[in-house]
Amino acid sequence: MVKWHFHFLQLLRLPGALAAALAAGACNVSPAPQSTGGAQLDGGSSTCERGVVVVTSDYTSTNIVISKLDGTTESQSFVSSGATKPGLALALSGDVDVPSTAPASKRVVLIDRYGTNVLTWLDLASAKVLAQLPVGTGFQANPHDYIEVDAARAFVSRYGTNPAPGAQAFDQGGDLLILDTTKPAIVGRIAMPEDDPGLQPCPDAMTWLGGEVVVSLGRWAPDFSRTGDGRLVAVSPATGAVNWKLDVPGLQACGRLALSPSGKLAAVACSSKLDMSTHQYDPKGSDIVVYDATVTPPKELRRLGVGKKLDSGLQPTIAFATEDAIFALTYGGNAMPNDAAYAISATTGEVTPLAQSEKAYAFGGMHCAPGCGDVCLLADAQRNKLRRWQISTDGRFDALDDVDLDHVVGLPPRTIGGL
Amino acid sequence: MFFKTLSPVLFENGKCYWMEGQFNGLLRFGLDDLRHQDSSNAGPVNLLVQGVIPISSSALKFYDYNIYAIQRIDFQYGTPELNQAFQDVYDFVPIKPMFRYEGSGWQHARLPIDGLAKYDLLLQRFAMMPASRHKQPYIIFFDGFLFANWVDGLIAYERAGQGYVIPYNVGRARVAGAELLGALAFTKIVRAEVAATFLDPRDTSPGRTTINDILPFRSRLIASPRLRADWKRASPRGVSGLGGEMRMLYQASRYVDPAGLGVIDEQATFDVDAYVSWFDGLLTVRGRVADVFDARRTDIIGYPLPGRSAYFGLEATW
Repeated sequence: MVKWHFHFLQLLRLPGALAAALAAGACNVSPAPQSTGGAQLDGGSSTCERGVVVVTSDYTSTNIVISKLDGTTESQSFVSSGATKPGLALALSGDVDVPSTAPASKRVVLIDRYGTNVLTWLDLASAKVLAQLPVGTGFQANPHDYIEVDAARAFVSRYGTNPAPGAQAFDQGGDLLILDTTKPAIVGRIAMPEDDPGLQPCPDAMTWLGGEVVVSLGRWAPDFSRTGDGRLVAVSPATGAVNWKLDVPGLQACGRLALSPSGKLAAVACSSKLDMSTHQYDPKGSDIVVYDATVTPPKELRRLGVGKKLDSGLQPTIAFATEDAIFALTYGGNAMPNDAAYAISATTGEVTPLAQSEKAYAFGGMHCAPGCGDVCLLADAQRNKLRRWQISTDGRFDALDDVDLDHVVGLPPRTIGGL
Repeated sequence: MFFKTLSPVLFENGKCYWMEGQFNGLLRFGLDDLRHQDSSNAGPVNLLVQGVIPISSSALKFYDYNIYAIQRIDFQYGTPELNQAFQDVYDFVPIKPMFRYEGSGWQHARLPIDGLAKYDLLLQRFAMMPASRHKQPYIIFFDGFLFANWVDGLIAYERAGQGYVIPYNVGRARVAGAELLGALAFTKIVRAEVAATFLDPRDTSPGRTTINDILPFRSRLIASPRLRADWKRASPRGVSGLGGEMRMLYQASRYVDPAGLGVIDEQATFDVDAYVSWFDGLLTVRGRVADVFDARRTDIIGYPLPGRSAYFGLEATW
């Protein structure tokens, strides 16, 4: 009788333990996908970039894809939020951007924005992290853009303003941080001007214009209840001085100054202030302004009247596809519920529809490479693809096949930066 | 074998239809112990063991365009007296599984409610059972649910960019799993138990772009084995009870984001507690050490949970 009980228990114990061990092992989730490695892109030239960096994100986590200028993928998961085992944070947050101007150092630079406030430099060929630098200095600095001004220095635009500065060095915010990129380290700051005491400068996207860095200022109240008219300021990399400022009267929430391939024309798109209750933009405050970029400061040539014509708010990012054709996007929510893409003549303001999404906030980053393959790319988060157009010499946009970005992570594309 | 219940129900409440059915059947089995048969003690007690297995205890529920499928599995092994107790309890407690993933999104390896109730009643019967010639050296108890749920509009949780956890809507999901309770009472004092929740939560939304389809913040296995001892006696003047427990909580690794890029590793903690009661339970002193081995544990990346900690309590009950 006793022996019978002993055998029964033994039989019960063995498979139970085995099943428990198997179950525990099998029930763990798979680790995050490994990096697909670096990319070998052509060396580029003084006028052509080598490729593009595509940020794919659901605003929770991020995957970085490296592509050629024509949009074909070179590395499906160059680096991602799963690059390291999470300690106190993920390797990359869900709010990551890339510089709008290709870094001259040929490194990949990632801007981890609000909540993280960290810059990351990576080697393109190996996908190795070269350095990281926190630029928060004790507050939500919200870095928005990065531009290398010489072999050892870079500017970082910090959108946030510190309401209680003075606790540590360089903690005022609303400025351009000056970085020593060889260490890397913060070595100085350039305060952005704001004459309205109720507004903060909110420095945003940067671009080269001649030998100066032009910064667009968002000019928002701290609670985003009010915004000032658009403003561009030019900073001398040599002296750090603000050389000039250029207001964009009557238009708000302006983006980066875009330059035509010859550098003779410049244009800026302004979105207007979003009405938070109706989720609509004011077309009267949204337009594209074209400037003569051969004079300093640039002289306004014309306004294209696109906001009113399309009854929509323009997205602040635009790009010249040719000397005349501007690749532009509108937000959904006004005349139509969806985002839309257009080719707009910088001379006549003639609008050519190119694409529409089926949902709002589906179209995001864009990139055009005039004279370097002549392909314009558009990040379409709804299709989870890059849309592409081949630009002919007469400025016609011919749609190419969409490009699948990756089959490793699958996050939708949001922004595109140059390499 | 007999079938006990068949109860399909169809309700209409506005635009919401739901139907529920429960189908129960019991299979009894027995094994004669001929070696212990004698003329003075004939009848059912001659059975060495007698088991009861509910062979079918199923429910299929349609509610608000979501589908729930539930299959219950029970098994108890012991003497005829205990099996009668089991059947009584089985009659008493209806099928009622827990769909915890629909609520806060947090999982705990708690025992299924009705399984626990049955088990507690069985233990009470076991403790009250008089010693007999056919000694009851142990009881084995098993209770479980298999379930599957196809649901629209599930609320899941993900890590926000700012580091905290926020809810989000999953267009369509399929959650399948099992809740299990296994127990072995060695004696009337010592028993071992394992509760486990297996889960396979998948995002089946048509527009999902991510390669990963496992829903975040849901471990696919949470298990909690424990070894417990309770000794009690009627003693109005002295020590009336002693007891203690060792238990472990194991959580398999889980994602923190829909893309499956952030992973919280598998983690386990080990707790011990003990108590002493005096004067028929009038006064009780309890002590507990949580996370004895000081294992690092987190539910949210960036917010580690407390490590080893000790608790002490004094209770008076009257």
